[in-house]
Amino acid sequence: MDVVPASVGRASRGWDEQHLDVQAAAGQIAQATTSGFTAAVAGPAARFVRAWERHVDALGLGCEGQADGLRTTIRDYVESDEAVGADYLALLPYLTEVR
Amino acid sequence: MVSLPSRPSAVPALDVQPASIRACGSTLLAASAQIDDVGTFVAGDARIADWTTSQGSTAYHRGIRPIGRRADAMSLALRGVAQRVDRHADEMAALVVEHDDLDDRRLHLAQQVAFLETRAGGALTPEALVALEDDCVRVGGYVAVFESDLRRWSSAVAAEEQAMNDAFGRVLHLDAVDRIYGGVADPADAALDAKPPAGASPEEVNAWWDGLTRAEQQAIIAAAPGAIGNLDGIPAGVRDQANTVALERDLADWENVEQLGLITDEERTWLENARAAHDARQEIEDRVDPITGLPIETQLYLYDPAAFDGDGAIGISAGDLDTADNVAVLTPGFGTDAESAPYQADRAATMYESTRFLDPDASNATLFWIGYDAPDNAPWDEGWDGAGVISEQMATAGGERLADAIDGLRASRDGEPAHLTAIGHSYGSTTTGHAAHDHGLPVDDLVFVGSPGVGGDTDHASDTGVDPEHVWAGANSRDPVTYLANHGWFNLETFAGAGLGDDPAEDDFGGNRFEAESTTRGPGPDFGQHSLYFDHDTESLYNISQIVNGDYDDVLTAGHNYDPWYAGVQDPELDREPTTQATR
Amino acid sequence: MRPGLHAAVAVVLLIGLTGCMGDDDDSGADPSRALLEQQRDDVRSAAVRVIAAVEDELPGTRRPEKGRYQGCQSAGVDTFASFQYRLSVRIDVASAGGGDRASLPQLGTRLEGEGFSFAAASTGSEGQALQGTSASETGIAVTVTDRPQVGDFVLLELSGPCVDVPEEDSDRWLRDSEDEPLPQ
Repeated sequence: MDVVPASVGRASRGWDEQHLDVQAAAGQIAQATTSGFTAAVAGPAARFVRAWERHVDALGLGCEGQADGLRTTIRDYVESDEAVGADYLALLPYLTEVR
Repeated sequence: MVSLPSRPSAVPALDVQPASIRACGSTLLAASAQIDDVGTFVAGDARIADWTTSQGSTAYHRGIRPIGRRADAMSLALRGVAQRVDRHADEMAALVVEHDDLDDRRLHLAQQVAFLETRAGGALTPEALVALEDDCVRVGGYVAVFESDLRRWSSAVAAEEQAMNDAFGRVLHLDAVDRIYGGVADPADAALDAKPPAGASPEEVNAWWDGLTRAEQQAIIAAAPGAIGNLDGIPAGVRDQANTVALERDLADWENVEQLGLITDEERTWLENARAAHDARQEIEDRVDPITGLPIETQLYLYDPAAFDGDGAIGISAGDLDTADNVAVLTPGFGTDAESAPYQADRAATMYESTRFLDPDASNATLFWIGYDAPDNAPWDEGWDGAGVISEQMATAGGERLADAIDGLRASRDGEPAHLTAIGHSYGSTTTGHAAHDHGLPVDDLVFVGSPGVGGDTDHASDTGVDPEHVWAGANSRDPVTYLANHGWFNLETFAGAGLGDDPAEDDFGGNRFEAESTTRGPGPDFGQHSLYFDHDTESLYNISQIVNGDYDDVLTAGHNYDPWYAGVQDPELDREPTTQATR
Repeated sequence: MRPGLHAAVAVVLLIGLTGCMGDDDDSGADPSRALLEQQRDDVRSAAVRVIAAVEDELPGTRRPEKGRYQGCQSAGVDTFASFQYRLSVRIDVASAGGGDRASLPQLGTRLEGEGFSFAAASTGSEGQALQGTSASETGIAVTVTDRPQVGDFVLLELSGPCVDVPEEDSDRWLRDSEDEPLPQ
């Protein structure tokens, strides 16, 4: 198994942050008010907002998936016989999701 | 038999709220900026440069590309809808105005037709009959024009509604998003590549901005608001748009992590600063122009919640900085940081109300500027000695920032330049003094209120680079902060270890002094008097407003402080009875 | 005197005057909160009556009102010693087919019938204003302004008296912006 550097851990944290930010964006979209449109537009507007809340949520889950995938890679490496000394210690903090 | 014109058709109700539509667009735009960041992340920090040799790294780097492409396409699609929603708000607002006009016309015409009907029902002489027939033809013509206008308006409403629905429908599903926007270059990217580097003059920045297409400008506001929101040389209206995107995005982000219980201490501080900016702007928007009764316009001119190690930087105007005849920039002092924004917003709104009240023919804007790192400690909390050595360091650094900000205001404005006044209060006056002396301020008037000194190198008003006739000072005789300023022979430099410069209210300084006493004053010094300079109906606000409006003859001047050889510094304002001066 | 001490003294006096000798540390017993909340209710209910009367006399389009607590007197760089509730609303006059619209004195007469009393109209550079008070909402001031040179609209402004507040409440009043719109 090839070496997994600590930068993989940092990237996993980066994906966690993206997940949070995108989750916030989905929340923002969910709260977008559509009641100000005329009756003819309010329906399509509401439908657009609901659909995009789901699209953005899915994007967020994609980010979370990347973060989890990198953590799995780190875990596999740490649990193998390949990780030694400094590698091992540097990667330990990234085994768990903090945010 | 008289042919009466038909009554005009009813105008259908138009139940719409453009402001609410605009808020919806603003929310979608902020969300699109967030999604854009994912694309940027994939292209940048998501790439792990030192992890390249394994199957896992290959699979990872291949796997993130579609996410990046999807995010880029989604951000462009959502941005497009957001901008169309914003335009829809404008179109509907215009249609509302037309609707009200049509309604008025219908009422007027209905009354005319009713009058003709009454006449037709009575006994008519041959002459009266002819006159009636003529009037029927005339009014019938008006009704026909009205009906045509009504049909055209109704079609315009329907067309605009359909266009908005089409925009929503076009990118409702992700496959359409990928098809239409996948691989499309973001107009923001090339435009930003040409942005002048850090340190460029506001004039260069303004020239770059004016050279962009509208599509490029809108793209940058949506995708990279941080690149221009606080950039001197960018017009105030544009900075407001960009900073609004950034503020809404920040509030959503940090409130989300706060709700999840994951917020860090640093983020908590930034969130408080963002909330302060939001509340400050709301405050101004909730107040009205005293002449027109319309809500005061605001611009979020400066927004950086993490600046100065978490103290934050916020600047918001009451009024339109790009177009107002008179512009005032207010720099506060001791103890000010981003969380002070709601209080400073109140002062900016009060100054707006006062200047408009005193000169209804001129348009006005007041910008409060928390744009430098002001001393956290304040003499009323810790005393002059407890505050440590009061130094000019922060004022010197702040002065450079203030000079850049004012250069930016000048460079970013098209058309007639404003009558521009820089007002420094408290330690903000030391900062303003430094800005003027060290860098030059292209202002028409300079005002120092409650000043502890205007900087050690400024011995005379002419050292500010502004004509002494246009250098003004207001000093409340009970305000102990003003006692720190050096007073000629009796040099206070040793009092707290250092002084902050000369007293601009003293005769030797060579500027003007205006009345700034308060009817609430007691017999002795009182730190409470230090913050009354901008309250309604005070001498100080009245005089500052006259200066901002350029109405110099209406300023109530006061005798200067003077320093006779035989006694300590004398203040003729000590014994004058304070007055109330209406500012609303 | 340190800032905030004026406000604290004012509050203690107020407590003394009302005969309520509650614990100064118990902010729940602070009378300024009840006074200001009541003031908001009074200004809004007076506004509803004024708007209805004016709209009756002067058909037009009412713009969304703007109301909030505003600081009266500063007590420090980030503190106000006192607050009041102020509300403004503009009514754009519909242009009627023939005939003049109701004048300011006519509006004043109508409002007097609704329980408001006015001094004689004052004239400024841009128009005229009526200033008065409400009989039923004690202490509420009303101003009706007509500025034909600026535009065909009438401005209504209502406010309550300034109420001293404890220093620690200043932020709360300044940042309060949760008002529901007035009923149509």
